[in-house]
Amino acid sequence: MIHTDLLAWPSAGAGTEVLDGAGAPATDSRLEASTAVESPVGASAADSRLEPMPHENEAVLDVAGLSVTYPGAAAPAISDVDLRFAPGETLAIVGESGSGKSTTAAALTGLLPAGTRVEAATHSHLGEDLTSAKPRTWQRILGTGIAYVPQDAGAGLNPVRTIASALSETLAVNGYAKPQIRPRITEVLSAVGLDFELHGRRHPHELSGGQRQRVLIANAIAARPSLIIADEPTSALDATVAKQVLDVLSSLVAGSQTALVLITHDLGVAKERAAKLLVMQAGRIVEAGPTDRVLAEPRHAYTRSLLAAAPHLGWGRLRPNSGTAVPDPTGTEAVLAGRGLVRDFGGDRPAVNGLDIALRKGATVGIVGESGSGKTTSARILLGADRADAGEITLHGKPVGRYRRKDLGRRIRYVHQDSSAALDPHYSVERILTEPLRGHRIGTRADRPARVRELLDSVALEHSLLTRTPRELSGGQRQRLAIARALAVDPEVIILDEPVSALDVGVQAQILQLLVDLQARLGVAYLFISHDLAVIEQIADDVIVMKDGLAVESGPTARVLHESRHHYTRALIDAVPCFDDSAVRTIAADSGNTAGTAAHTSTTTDSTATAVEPTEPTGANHA
Amino acid sequence: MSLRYLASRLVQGLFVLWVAFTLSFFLLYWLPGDPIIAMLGAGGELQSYDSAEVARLRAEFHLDQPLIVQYLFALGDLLCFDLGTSIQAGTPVTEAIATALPSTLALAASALVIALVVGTAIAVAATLTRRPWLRDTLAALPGLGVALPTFWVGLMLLQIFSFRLPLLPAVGTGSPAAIVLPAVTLAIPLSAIIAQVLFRSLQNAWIHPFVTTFRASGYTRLRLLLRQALPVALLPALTMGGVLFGQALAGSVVVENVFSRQGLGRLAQTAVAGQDIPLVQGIVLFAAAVFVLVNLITDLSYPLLDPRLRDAGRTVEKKDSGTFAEAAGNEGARP
Repeated sequence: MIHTDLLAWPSAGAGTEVLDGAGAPATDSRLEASTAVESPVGASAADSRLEPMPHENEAVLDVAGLSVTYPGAAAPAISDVDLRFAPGETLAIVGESGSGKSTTAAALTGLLPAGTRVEAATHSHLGEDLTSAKPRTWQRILGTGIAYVPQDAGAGLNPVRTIASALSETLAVNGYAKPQIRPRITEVLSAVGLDFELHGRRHPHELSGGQRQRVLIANAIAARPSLIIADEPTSALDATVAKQVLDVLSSLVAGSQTALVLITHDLGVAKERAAKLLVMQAGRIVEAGPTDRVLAEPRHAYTRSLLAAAPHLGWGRLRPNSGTAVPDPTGTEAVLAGRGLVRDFGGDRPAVNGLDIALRKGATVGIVGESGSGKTTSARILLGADRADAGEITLHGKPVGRYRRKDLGRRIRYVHQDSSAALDPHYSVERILTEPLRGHRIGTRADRPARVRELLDSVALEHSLLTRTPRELSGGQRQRLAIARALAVDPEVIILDEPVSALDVGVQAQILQLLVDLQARLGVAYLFISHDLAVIEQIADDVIVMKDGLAVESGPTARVLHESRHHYTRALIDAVPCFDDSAVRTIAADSGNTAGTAAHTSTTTDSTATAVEPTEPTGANHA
Repeated sequence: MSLRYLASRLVQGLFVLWVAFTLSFFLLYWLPGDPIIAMLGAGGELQSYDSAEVARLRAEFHLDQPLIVQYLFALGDLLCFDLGTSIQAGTPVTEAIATALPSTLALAASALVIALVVGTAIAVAATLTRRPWLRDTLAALPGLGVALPTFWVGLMLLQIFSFRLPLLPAVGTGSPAAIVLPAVTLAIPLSAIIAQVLFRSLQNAWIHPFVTTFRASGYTRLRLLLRQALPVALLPALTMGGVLFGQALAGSVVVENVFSRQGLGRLAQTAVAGQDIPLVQGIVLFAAAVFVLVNLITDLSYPLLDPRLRDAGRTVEKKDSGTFAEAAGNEGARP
C-alpha cells in the first residue's frame, strides 16, 4: 500500500522520525540533521520545529530569466526560462530533443558541467537564493531539497552495488543515522512496489528495466525532498511498464507537499500526469499554462505543430502523398512468407514460438509488442541473419534455401533503429549509397553517381549532402539515408526494426510519410517493427501483436485495434498515454485542410513544419 | 565458476609453460659460445683444458647428443619437476631459485604496495581536482614514470639518498632499510602503469549516468568517487595484474644489479652472462608459471568483484506486476 505521508514534506505527519526537520527548512537542514544525529532530539523539540511550517507559502522553486551557456558555445542552450511552482504541484516540460528540456533539468539540479555559464535574475528554492550557489550548497540541497530521477534506468545505478547499499549510502549522505536507514529503505522500496528482502540484495542487472526505474524513484524520494525532477523517467520503458512507473510517481506526490517536474517528449504523459504544462523550443519557453488549456487551445505555432505531429491512436493509416489509393494488398500473393517459425535460444521459453507471417507486395505488416516479445528475433529470422529452429520461409513460394545467399541479400533489406550505429562513420553519404551498388554489381561505374543522386531525390535529401559523413547529418537525415541505402538495390522486402523510435515526433511523422510514399511508388513490401501502437496504426495494413514469443493476435490493423480480441492487445492500447480528445482534432481542423470524424490532418502550414525541423521537408497526410 | 572452466584454464596454462620452455630452450641453444668452456672459466682456449674432462662434462649435461635428444631429455626431466643442475654453481636449479626468491619477493611486494598507494592516489587526485592545470600535471606523471629508465632512477636515488645524504644504505640485502631505495625505484614504473590505467578507468566511470544519479542525491565528490566510481573503475584496472607482475620481474633484474641485491633478477643476469642454460631455463619457466598463475587468479577474482559475471542462482525478474500493482493502488495494466 501507499504511504501517503511518505514524503511528509513539510507536514508534521511523520514526526516520529527525528530527521524530519532535515527536509523542511533547507537553509539549515544540514546543521540540524547533523546535530540530530549526534544527540537524539526530544519529541517536543522535534514538534516545535515542525509545527510552524515556515515555508508553507514559499515557492518550492522560483526561477526567472534563467539562461545557460555551455563552455565554447556561441549561443545559450536555454534562455529566459521562468518557472515558479508551489508545494505539491506537478509540472510537465515538453519539447523535442535539443529544445533545452534536459539542460533546464540540469540547471535546476546544479548538475551542469564545469565551466558552464548560468545566469538568472531569480533562482531560489524555498526562499534560499541559488543564483550563485557553490557546489557545497548544491550538495546540501540535493537529496533533501531537490531530487532527481534520471532518464536511463539501465545505466542509472551502480552495477557493482546492491540496491539496498545504494539506497543506504544515499540516506547516509543525507544525514540519516544508522538505525533509521534500514526502516527507511524498507519504506521507500515498498512505496515503489519493491520488497527489501526480495529486491534489496539484488544488483541492478538482476532487476527489470521497470524495477530499476522504480529503484531510482525510491532513491530520489529517500531523503524526503520537496521537489523531484524526473527527466524522461519512462522513455526507455515499454508502454505498460511506463504506465506503472508513472502511477507510482504520481501517487507518491499526490498526497504530499512534494512538487514534481516531469520532463517528457510525450504529450500524452504530460496530459495524464501534470496540471501545468510548459512547452520548450530551441531553449525558450514558448508556451506555458494549465495542461488542459495548452493542449486544447494551443496558442503558439510550435505547440500546434507538436500536437499535430504526435502520433496517437485513431488516426488511421497514412495515405501516400501522390494521391494514389493504397493498393488493396489482400489479393496479391505473398512475397516473403514464414510459417510456424520457432527460435529457441534455450531460455525458459522459445524467443519466437510458431509465428506465421506473410508480406505482400506494396503492403506493410506491423509487429508490435514489448521488449523481449520476439519482434526483433522474428525480423532477424526473416532477414536470414538468424536461423529458425522450426518452420519454413518462402520467397515467391520457393523456400529461401533455394536462393543464393547474395540474391536474398539484395531482395530483402534491413533498416536499423539506430541509424548512427548502422552507418559507417567514416564513409561519405555518396560512398554509403555506392557501396551496395558495387557489392551487388548493379550498373556500371559510370552509372552509379547518377543512381546515387536519384536515391537521394527519392528520400528527399539534398545533393549537397553527398560529401558529408553520417555524423554531420541530423537524426532524421540519417534515417532517410539508411532507407535510401536499403532502396539502392531495388529490394522486394524491407524490414524496418523500430525505424522511427529514436526520432522526435515531427521527424517521425515525416519519415513515416516518406515510407508510405516510397511504398506506393515502388511496391516494396515492409515488415515494420515497433513498440508503439500509434506508429503501427499509421503504417501497417496488417498487424501481429507479439507477447513472450507468441503472436497473440493478428489481422488487419483497424480490426485489431478497434475490436481487439486478446486482453493483452487491449492492455497495450490502454497503456498508450493519450492526449486524444475532441480538442486536438478541432485544432487540427482549424489550422488545416480537412478533418473527418476520425480523420486527422496535420503539419499544415509551412511555418509549423519548419518549426519542427527546418532541414526536413514537410508533409504528412493521414487518411 | 565451473570446474570445466577451471580445467580448461589450467590446460591453457600448461600449454603456455610448454611453449615458454621450448622457445627458451632453442633460443639458448643458438646463442654463440660454449657453456662448458664458460663453466671451466677463463679465456675460451679449448686447448688449455683436458679434453677428456670437457667430454665428460659434455656427456653429463647431454651436450654431446643431437639437439632434439637434448630437448627431450630436458622435457622429460621437467615432467619429473627436475629443472636440472646449474652448470656454474653445480647446485640444483630449484635450490638456486628457492634461495634467491625471498629477497626478490620482498622487493616486489614492497614495490607493489608503494605503487598501488601512489598510483591510486595520483589517479584519484587527477579525477577529483577541479583545476585543469593540476589535472593535466597529474595525468602527465604516469607517462614520465614509464619513460624514466629504471637504472638511471636507481643511480639518482643512490646518489641523493646514500651518498649526498647518507640516510639509507646503498647496497646489500641484509637490513630492512636496504630495501627502501630498490623498492622505490621499482615502484616508479609500476605506479605509473597503475595510475595511467586507473585514471582512464575512473574517467570512464565518472561520466557514467549512475554518477549523475548519486551526485543528484547530495554526494560529495570524494565520496562519489571512492564509493561509487572506484569500485567500477577497479575492474578494468585488474587486468593489469599480469602486466604488473611482468614489469616487476623485469625491473628486478635491473634494480637488483644496480643495488647489488641478492635475488632472482641478479641470478638471471649471472646465469645469462655465464650461459648457464639449465638455470636460465629454470628462471624463465618459473617466471612463466607465476605469470600464468597471476593471470588465472585475476580472472577467477573477476566474478567476486563484478556481480554481473557471477553465475547467480537468482533469476532476473522479468515481470513488473504483483507487489507493484498493489503498491501503485491500481488494477495494473491488464484489464
